[in-house]
Amino acid sequence: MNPTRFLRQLTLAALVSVSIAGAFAKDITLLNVSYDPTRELYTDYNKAFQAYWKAKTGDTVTVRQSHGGSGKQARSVIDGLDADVVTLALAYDIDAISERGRLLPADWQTRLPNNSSPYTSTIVFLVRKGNPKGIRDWEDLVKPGIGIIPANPKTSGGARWTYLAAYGTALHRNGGDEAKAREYVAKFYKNAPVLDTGARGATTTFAQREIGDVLVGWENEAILALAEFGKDKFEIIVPSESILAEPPVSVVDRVAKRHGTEAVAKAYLEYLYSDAGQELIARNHYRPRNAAAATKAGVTFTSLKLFTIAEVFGGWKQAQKTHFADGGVFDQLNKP
Amino acid sequence: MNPSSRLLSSAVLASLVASAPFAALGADDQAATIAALLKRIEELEHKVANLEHPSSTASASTSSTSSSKTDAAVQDLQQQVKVLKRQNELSTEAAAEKAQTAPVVSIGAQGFQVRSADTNFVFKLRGLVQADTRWLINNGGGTPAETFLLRRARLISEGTFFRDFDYQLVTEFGGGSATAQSPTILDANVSYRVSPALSLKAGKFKSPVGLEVLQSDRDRSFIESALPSQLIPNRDIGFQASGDFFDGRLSYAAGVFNGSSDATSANNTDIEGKKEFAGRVFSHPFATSSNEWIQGLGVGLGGSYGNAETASNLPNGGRGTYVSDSQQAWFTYKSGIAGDTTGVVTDGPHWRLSPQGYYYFRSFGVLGEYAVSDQRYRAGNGTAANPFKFAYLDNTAWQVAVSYVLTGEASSYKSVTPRHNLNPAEGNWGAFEVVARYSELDIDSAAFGTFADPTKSPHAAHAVTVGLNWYPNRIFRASVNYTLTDYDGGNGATGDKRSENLILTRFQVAF
Repeated sequence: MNPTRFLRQLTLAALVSVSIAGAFAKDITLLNVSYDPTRELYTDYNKAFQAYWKAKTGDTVTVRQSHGGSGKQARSVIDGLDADVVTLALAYDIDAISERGRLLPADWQTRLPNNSSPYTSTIVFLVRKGNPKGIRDWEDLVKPGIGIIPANPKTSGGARWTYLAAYGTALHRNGGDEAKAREYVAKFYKNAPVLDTGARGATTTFAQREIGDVLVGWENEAILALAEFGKDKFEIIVPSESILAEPPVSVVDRVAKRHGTEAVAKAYLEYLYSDAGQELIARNHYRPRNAAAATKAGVTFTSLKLFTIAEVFGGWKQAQKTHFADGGVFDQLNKP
Repeated sequence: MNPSSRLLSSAVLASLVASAPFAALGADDQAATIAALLKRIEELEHKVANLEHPSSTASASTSSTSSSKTDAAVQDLQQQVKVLKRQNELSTEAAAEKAQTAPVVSIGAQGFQVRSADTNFVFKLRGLVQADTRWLINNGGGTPAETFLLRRARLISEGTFFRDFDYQLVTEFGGGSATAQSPTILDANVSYRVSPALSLKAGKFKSPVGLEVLQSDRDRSFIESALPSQLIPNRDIGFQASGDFFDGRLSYAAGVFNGSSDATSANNTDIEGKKEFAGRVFSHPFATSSNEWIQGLGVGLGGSYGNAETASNLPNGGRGTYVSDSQQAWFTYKSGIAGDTTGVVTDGPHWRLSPQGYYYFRSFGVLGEYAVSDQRYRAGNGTAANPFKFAYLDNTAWQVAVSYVLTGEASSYKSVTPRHNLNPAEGNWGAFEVVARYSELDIDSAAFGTFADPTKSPHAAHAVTVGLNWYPNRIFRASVNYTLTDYDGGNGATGDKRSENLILTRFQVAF
C-alpha cells in the first residue's frame, strides 16, 4: 500500500467522521429543580457533567438550575415547571410529584442505588466563635435564654429533617416517651425567634443578621457558612446523635420524554454515583455514599450516631401525616 | 431610683414594646417601631458609656455590676431589634411572594377581569350596548319612518383555563327587530390553542368568510354593514382550525359548519343535515417591514361551499330578502308563484367567494371587499302545469370604504383609541373620525321572472354612506351616518324603487 495514499485516505476519513459527528452533535438543555442549599454543588457538578457528556457523545448539555424550598419546588413542578430532573431534600416531595402530578412512576426510588439518594447529610449546630452559650448537644438548645435558628418545617425540607432530628433524639433520650419528646420540641421552637422559609434564609438570619446563638440545620450549610464567613467567627458543634438525611433525585419522566431528554437526564443522575460525582459531592460538604470519594477529596466528616427516618418515624409518608400535615404535631406544638 | 435601675426599667419597657404583637402592625408601623427602638438603644449606649467613665467617686464594684447589667440589657435589646428587623424582612418577602401567586382582579376599559398570577386562568366579563335611531327622509310613507331601537345589548363572558383552553359566551338581549327581542346565544364556543400555527375551535362563532362580518361589531366604522355582507354567512355552528405563520404575516381558518344562508346567523341546531365548508386565508405581507407605508396592507380570500335544500336556507334567515341600511327588505324572492303554493327554495350547491383587503396608514384607512354568492334555487311544484324550474343564481356585491381620523390617532381594523379622553376643562375632546363608503349589490338577472318579481324587487342597489364618529374615550362612541341607497328597477315595469334617504345615529358603550 502506498503510505502517502493511505495517509491521505485516513485524513479524509477522519475529516468525514468529524464532520458527521459535528453534523449530528446536539445542543441539549436540562432543567434541574433542586432545593435551597445545593446551588454550589450543582454549579460545580453541572460543569463536570457537561465535560463528561461532551467527551462521551459530542453533545453539548446546558443544565439550568432552579433552587428554593423543597416542598415549594415540588409544587412548582406539579403546577407545570418543566423540570427534566428533580434533586430535592426529601423523598416525600418527589412522591408528591408522582402522586399528584403523575409525572413519574411511583417506584421512582428503586431506579437508582441507595433509594435514589446519591449522598447523605445530617443536622448539626453552628455557633458563634468560642461557643459563648456553651452549646454541646440537643439538651442545650432548649435552655432558657438560648436563641436557636432553624428554618420552618412547613416550607423547608431541611427544616423537616431538623425537626425530626430533634424529635427523634428526644425520643431516644426519654425511652421512647412521645409526650416528653413533644415537650422537648415545643421548647425547641419556643426558643426560635425567627423561622425562615428555607435553609439558606436561616443561614442568612444567623450569620449575616447576627440573630440567635445557634443555627440548627444542614451539615453542608454549616460547613459552607464556616468557609464563607470565616472560622474566626463561627464553629461547628456536632451533636452526639442526629438523623441520617437522604436527599433523593429522579428523572421527571413525562417532562423528559416530551423534551426528548430522557437519556441525558438519566445519565445526569447516574453520574452523581460515579467516582467523579461522589468526589464533587464530598468537596461540597455532602456525605458521599462512596466513603473513598471523601478521602480522595481530602474531606473528613465527623462521626456521630445516626438514625433513619424509617427506623424512628416509619418513613416519610407517615412522618408527613403525623408531624407536618395541617393540624399535625408541629402545628399543635408551634401555636403562636 | 439609681441610673442602672432606670436603665433596666427602660430596657424592660423597650422589651415589652418590642415583644408586642408585631405582626399586627403594618410595614410603616414596624419601621417606625424599629427606628424608635434603635434610637432608644443609642441612648442606652450613651448612658452606658457615661457609667463606664463615672465622674463621681462611687465605688468601683458598684459601677462594674451596673455596667455589666446594662451591657446585657443592651445586647438583649439589640437582639430583639434584629429579630424584629428580620421578621419584617421575612414578612415583606412573604407578601411579595404571595403577590406573585395571588389572583389579580382588575376593572377598566377592558371590562372586569380576574386572572391567576401565572395568567393560566382568566375570566373576563364585558359588555356592548348600541342604542340607535333611524330617520328615513321622504320614504313615501314606508315603515318605519323613524324609530329608536336597541340594536345590540350583549353580555360577553370570556376566559382561559389551563393556559391553552379558551371559551366565549355572548348573549344578545337586543337585536333591533320584532323577531329578535328575546335573549339569544350569539356566540358559544371553546377553543384549544395547540400552537401559534394551530388552534381548534368548536361551537357557535363567526364563519371565516367575510372581512366586514369578521370585524368585531364594536369596531366597525359604520353603523350598519355594507351590501356585500348581505351575501356572507354570519355566525354558524361547527368546528374550525386556525393559526398564524411567519410571525403572523399569514393566517388561515378553515372549518366545517352546519351551513348558514346569506346574512344569517345559524340556529342552535342544524336545519337539514347538510354541511358547509368555509375557509379564509389572510396575509399582512409587510407587517414586519421597516417601511411604515406598507406595513398596514392586508389582503385575503374567503369562501364557502355547501348544499342548501330548504326554504329555511333562503337569505336573511329564510326570509328570502336582502335589506338596506334601514334593515328594510328591498329585494325578495317570490314566496309563491301564481297558481302554486310552493315558493322559491334553495335546492343544491351553494358557494361563495370573497376577495378582500384593507390598507391602513397612520390616520387613513381603506377597506374593500367583493362577494359572490352562487346558489341553486328551485321554483314550481313539479306538476305538469307548474314543473320545477332550477337556476344557479350569482348575486354579487362590493364595497370600498375610507376612513380618516381627524385628531391624528391611528386608523386600523380595530376601533380608534383616542390619545386623550374627553376632558373639556383641559381642552381634550377625544377622537373624531370621518368615514365614507360606496357599496352595491347586483341580483343575477336570471332571477327575475321565475324567482323574483321585477316589478317589485330591484335588480341592484347602490348605497353611498358618509359619517362621523366621535370617540370620547375607549368605551363610549357616538356616530352619525347618512346613507343614500338607489335602486335599479323594482317599481312597476320600468320604474326604479324609491331611493332611501336614511340618517342613523348610535350611542355605543363597549367594554
